[in-house]
Amino acid sequence: MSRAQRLRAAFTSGRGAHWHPTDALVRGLALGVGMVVLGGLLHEVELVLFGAPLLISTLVALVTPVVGTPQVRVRGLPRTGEVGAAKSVVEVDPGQGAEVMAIRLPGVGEGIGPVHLVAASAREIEVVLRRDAWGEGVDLRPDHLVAGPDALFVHGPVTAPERGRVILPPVEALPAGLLPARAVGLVGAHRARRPGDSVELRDIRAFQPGDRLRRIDWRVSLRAAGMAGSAEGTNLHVREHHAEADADVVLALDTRQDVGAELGDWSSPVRARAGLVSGRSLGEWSLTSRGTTARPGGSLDLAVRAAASLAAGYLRQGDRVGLVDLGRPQLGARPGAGRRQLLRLRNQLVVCARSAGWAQRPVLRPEQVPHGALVVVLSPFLDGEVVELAVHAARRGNLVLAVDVLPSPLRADGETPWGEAVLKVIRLEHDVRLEAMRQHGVAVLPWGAPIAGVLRAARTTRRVSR
Amino acid sequence: MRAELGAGLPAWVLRASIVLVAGGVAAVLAVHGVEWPALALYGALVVVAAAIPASAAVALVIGYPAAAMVVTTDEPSWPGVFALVVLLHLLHVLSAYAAVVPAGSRVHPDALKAPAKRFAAVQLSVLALGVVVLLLPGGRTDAAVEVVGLVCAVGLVVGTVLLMRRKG
Repeated sequence: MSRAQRLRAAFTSGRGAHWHPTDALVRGLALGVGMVVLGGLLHEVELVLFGAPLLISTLVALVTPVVGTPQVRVRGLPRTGEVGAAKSVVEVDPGQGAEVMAIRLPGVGEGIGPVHLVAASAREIEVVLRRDAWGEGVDLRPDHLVAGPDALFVHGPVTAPERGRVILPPVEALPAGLLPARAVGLVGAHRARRPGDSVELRDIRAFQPGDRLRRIDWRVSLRAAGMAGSAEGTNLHVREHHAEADADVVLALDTRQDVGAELGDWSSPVRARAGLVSGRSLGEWSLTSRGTTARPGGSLDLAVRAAASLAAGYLRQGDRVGLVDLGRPQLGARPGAGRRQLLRLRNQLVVCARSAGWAQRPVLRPEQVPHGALVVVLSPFLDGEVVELAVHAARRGNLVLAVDVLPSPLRADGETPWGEAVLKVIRLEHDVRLEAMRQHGVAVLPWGAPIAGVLRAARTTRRVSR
Repeated sequence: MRAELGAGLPAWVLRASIVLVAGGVAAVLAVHGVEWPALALYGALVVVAAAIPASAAVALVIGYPAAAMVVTTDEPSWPGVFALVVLLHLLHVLSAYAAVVPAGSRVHPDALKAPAKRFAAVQLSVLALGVVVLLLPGGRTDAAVEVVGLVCAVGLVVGTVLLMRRKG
């Protein structure tokens, strides 16, 4: 035993991961033997009778062998999961002679749960894990204490390692009209400006060497020949179609700020739903005791949910969707398509939210945005830097959609007389920023509003401005 | 054996049981003429024992009535004695289990089946011994028998100590 172990054993009075007697054993022994002996000496038979059960039960505990090291294992706990309930099994090997076990298991509510006093004969315990918030969190920590007869000898308490899951941000079904059905050349509709092989007519033009014969529009060619008074092949016309192209969507998540609807909480410790969360900075309150990585109902929570839902919607249309963390550019995910990409993006959203709040300036490098991609900036737009970033992306030729995730309505801080004035200033500044983006051809909308019409209007504005 | 984890009972049920059983003990003492100040002191001890079941207060809660019963009554009142035999043992067992679970934990009644059976077995044997004592004729014991009894008691102590050393 090392010096540290000896010190720890001394401080914990010998308790821990080995079988040791409890106070009840000392009590049973002292009172049992004491009352029996004293009753014999004083000729008081009732003292003997009082002490006899204590002595007998103590002797029974002493002669019952309690050996072995209790083992607790968690089985069937996936690394990722969805919001809601999931089942897992805790395997228990309590050792020989064990009678009851106090083990910490999730109960009715969320979290690692209370300690349960269960019979040691249960070898497998099925538990229901419940998490209502996305993010990383601890689901199970089966701390345990195993007791022999009458809890006179116990093994433990043993603090078990924590087992957790990453709960992926939920994908909300978007209402009809939220996603653009045919945003030209950009998303989902697969129609590019260049000519190609789709069924959608692009133009009718004169035949050129290299054109396929089956593309000749005979009706137009004959009419043109008739008008020219010649039946020769010089007036042949072909039908030109649009090309089908994959569209790229880049979800740019602003993880620098996470604010709620209460202005008073923006600069003070956050009061999370389940309890107090210490610290003042975003970095400190990014991980709450409930395992969430953002404040519930805050701007980051809203942005992550919106990003997951948008990604699911666009990927369902067959588009390629990527993710950029404006606070930490290295945490993004390259554009991709398919169901695996959705899982990758949802995982990455959790990673981004976990390390939120550290960057001062948002970063969106040109190489992170494929040419012609739709850039969806999800931010509460509380500073000018993110507005500049969105406008620069629009100037580079991308269609930019700014999704405002600032919780609405904001509520003034009631504890200060300046609360209403501050709220008014914040609202005005916010409105100015949104208007500035609109004037630079950025489509702006709050989360939940239909996207298609706004995108169409932004595209028209850009064409006119060109 | 696979078990589904139910809701269980709150752990304060164990502590409330301690108070309840101790109330029964106090009632027995009151019937046998123990004064109210002494009962109030006993009540304070019970509160401490229920709040901290791993404390020495539990030993006092068990030892106090036994001593009071011996001191206050010249001739044993057998119904009261038998009631205290059951109640004091129950206090000991309840406190032992309440001491190993935190106050906010959940107790599943299945876990207490085996302890309940052992409690019943121990009580049956002790009450049978009590009945035998009750039926035996009273009278002075010879000095030689008393010495043998003392030697047996010492042997009991030595035996338990040896058993404990083997366990440790």
